[in-house]
Amino acid sequence: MSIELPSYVQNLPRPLQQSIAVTIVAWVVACCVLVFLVLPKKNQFAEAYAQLQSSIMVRDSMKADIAKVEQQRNATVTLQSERDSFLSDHALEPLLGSLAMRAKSVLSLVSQQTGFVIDNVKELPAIPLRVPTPTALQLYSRQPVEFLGHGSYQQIVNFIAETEKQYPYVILTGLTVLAQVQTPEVHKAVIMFEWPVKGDKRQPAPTSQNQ
Amino acid sequence: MSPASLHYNFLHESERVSSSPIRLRFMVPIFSCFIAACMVIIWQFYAIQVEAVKSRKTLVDDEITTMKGTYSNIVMDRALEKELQAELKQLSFYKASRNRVGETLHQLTNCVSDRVQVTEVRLAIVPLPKEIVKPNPKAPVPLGPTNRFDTVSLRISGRAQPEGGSGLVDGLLRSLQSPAFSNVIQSAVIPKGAFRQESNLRTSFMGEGGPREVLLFEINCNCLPRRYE
Repeated sequence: MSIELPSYVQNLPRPLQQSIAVTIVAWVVACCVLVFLVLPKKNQFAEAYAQLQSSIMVRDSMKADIAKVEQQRNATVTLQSERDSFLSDHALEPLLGSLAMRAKSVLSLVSQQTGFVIDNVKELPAIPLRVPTPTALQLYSRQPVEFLGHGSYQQIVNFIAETEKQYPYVILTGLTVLAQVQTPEVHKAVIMFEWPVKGDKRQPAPTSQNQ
Repeated sequence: MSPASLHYNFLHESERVSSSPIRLRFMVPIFSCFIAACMVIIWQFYAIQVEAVKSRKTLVDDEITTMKGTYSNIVMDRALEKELQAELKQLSFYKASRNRVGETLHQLTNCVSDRVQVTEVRLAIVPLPKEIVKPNPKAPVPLGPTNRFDTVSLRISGRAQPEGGSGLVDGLLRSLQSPAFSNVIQSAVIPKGAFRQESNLRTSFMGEGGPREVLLFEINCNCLPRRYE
């Protein structure tokens, strides 16, 4: 197969023809190398470099976090002890499944001290506590317990004041003092105290891997 | 008339030489080949760099893999910390909602005259009016109440002797409005029609010999709200 060159090329001197041919071939090779080898390799390099940078960032961040492991552990332990001490000191735990009986056992000493007689104790439905954002998995509620009893106004008020003093997070949420016609000095009282209690525990949200 | 000068050109085209010391005929192909060679060198440079970056990434990834065990403990610790913070925040709402009333109720006895008998003291949380706003079906269902406070009311009912009774009831009302009660009571009023006279009671509150007519009163107090903040 022969290529028919135009006449003006054929008329050129032979060395010049060779020079042009070499130049054209060299440029074609250069362009091919650029387009098919250099540019794809450059993109590959940029991609690999970006991945390396990302891995380095992850590694450095992990290293920094690992360096703070003790600090992190201390912070968690502090918060855990703060929560646990609050719950053990102030939250109401059921006594044989009864919150009302636990409340009665807690306040029976106060009632003896003040002379207020507790006739009956009733557990009312728990009221969920306002939820903060972000929301914890473990939720808490306010547990009202109704104390029905009798005593003089002074005894009733002493019972409330002493309870508030000895158990700072037992909150009075309702009080009804009714005078009795037959016993003017002894009143009937319905006192409603509230304790913090553990509420529902939510399930953690599914992670993206599980979805 | 001068004779026309004759100029013979016996130079062959291929023998013509440029006056420039650089011969384009040689330099252009050499330069083109040089460019092609450079392209190959650049490609090789990038190829080596890619391999170097990949091997370095493998090392970093190996390092990450070895740290994963320790790191997962930290992630769990961090999640636990967030959980505890949220729990304590919720408990802090409870702590903040505490209003002590015992001492204030004690003081009430000092304000009530012997000729006034309190028949009922009722402290209660006033339920909030239900929202009229249409619930948004797209909004997530709240896990708990969203109100930041509860209103608390105190109602004192009683009776007084007719003679000077109005003054005594007014005195009691003023006492409740005084700063001595301000840590619990925000405002105290006698509702319209709540102060009235009544007779023909079956028994007199001051005993059998006491008056048969009495003044009945009711004082409504708005207490400090319980704030869950």
